[in-house]
Amino acid sequence: MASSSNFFGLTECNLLCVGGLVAGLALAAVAFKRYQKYKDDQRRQTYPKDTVVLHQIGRGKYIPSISPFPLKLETYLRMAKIPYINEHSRTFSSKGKTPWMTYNGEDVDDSQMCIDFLNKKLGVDMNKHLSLEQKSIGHAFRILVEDHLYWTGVLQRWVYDKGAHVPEASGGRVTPFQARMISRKIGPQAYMQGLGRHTQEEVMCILRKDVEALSCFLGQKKFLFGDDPCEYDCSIFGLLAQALWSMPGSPHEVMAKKEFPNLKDYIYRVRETFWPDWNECILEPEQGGTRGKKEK
Amino acid sequence: MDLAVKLYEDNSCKLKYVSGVLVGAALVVVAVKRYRKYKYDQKRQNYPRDTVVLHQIGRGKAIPSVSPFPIKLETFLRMAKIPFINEHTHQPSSKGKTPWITYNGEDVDDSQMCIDFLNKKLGVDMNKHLSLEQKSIGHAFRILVEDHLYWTMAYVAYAGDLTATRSVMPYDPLTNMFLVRAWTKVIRKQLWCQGMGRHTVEQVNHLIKSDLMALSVFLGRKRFFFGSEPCEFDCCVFGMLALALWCMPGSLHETLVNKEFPNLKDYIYRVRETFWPDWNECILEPEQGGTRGKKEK
Repeated sequence: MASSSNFFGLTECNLLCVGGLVAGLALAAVAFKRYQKYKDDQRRQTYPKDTVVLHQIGRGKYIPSISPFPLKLETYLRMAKIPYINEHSRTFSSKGKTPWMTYNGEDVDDSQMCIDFLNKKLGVDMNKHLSLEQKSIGHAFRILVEDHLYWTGVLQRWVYDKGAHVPEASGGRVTPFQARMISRKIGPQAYMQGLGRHTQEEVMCILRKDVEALSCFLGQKKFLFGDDPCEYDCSIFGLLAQALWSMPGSPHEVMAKKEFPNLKDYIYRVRETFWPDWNECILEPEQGGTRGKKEK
Repeated sequence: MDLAVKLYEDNSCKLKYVSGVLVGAALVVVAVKRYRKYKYDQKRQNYPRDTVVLHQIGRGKAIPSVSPFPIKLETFLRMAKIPFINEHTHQPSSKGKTPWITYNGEDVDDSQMCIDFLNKKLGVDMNKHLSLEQKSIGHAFRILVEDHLYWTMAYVAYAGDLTATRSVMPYDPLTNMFLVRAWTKVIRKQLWCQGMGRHTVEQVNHLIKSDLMALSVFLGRKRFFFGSEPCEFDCCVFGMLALALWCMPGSLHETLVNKEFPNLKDYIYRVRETFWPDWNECILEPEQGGTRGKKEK
């Protein structure tokens, strides 16, 4: 008997097969998601109490993280001596960002919101030795670094370089294919943000002004506001460390290494103060890292 | 070519008709564009020499512009006493932004690049009385205002209820509705890409308060940002805060500037009195929906 119905050339039997396949795939996806959630919930139950679980993307070849914000947050945890463990994963927060943290069952995302949360929860204040005016200046410099200088780095790494150095800097965790895919998404984002509308030459000029302002304000001081480090040092270090260790050949690296020696000294100073175990926080040679190797 | 002719001859009358209409429409569009370019080039030839032509989107109901960057740039021109004329237009720059300037035939866009261009071209330096450290602090605050506080204002104006935003737009109701809807779509995408759009309202409110507090604390009791003399950084801080006061009714920005940070309010009025003595002539007349001549609330 010939097929009685026909839908865009497909017979009833074909439609049943396709429908069954689609339904099967959907069920498999739902089952997989539920299983992932179940495993996630199991894992969360094992998180230690009164300990920050810092979710971040994993160690880098030369640097504990090739992203400035995990480095900022981890530097803060060390500075404030808050107990924490790392969970290296590609699970993003509900806002689609990383790093994020869990503390006694509560999830918080955005590095600054994590810091504000912990300051409030644990009565921490790494800025207590600063005057109100210094805090206002520190706030301005933190925004300069995180909302402006950061985007010049994004453009350099993902647009001008097209993510070429990321696979190596990540120790192979980001594949060249993934780097190219990310690079395609970042360009339009940077355009929307505004800095991506400028020419490369204009962006380099903007970069120089930001770095000059930082260098000039730091001057000969040990940390941003004198001999004692403060919370703002975490975010500045998080970003400047990228220039030195995960953006090879970039104008950022050149400026940090050669043109502004006080910034280079500052970066090393913060590293020596809060990351005495820096070498254990980068990937081993077997994983594509430089642990144990002499720094260039 | 032969194949195209054959296809054209083989096709039905209906397809020929549609093709003809499309080609005709395309020709009309090209002709209109060329005519507009011709008129535009004619207009540019009439620009006065050694005078900045400031292209901006037009006056507002209670403020010279509903955007902070034209106010920043115009305040700078007034502060530096650079001759300028305004050309109110929705024509954006080649980067798709506004405001932008033309100076002796040369176009420059982005408010800060315009200022840097004029500083270099005309040997102007409104920051010459500042120390290097003050300039570095001023730079950081300019970025705080233009790359952070600005986005909190965009969030409040466009991410949620658009009633307040529509009420301050200086257009007729139909244009208003169309433009605000078009801008909202773009700005919401910008907010997400930039990051501000990923926060909750409560989180953004916290950021607004932090930024305005930092500005208020740093300003303190000073007349201008760095003392009794105004400087270039005052232009951008004024541009942004003026919007908070006169263009964001019912917002947290307005409330904080009006009530919690009185030194900021005094500062805004001070800059306005110093550089905008003709403020009233730079806002729309009542017939155009503006508040020119009306007593300020």
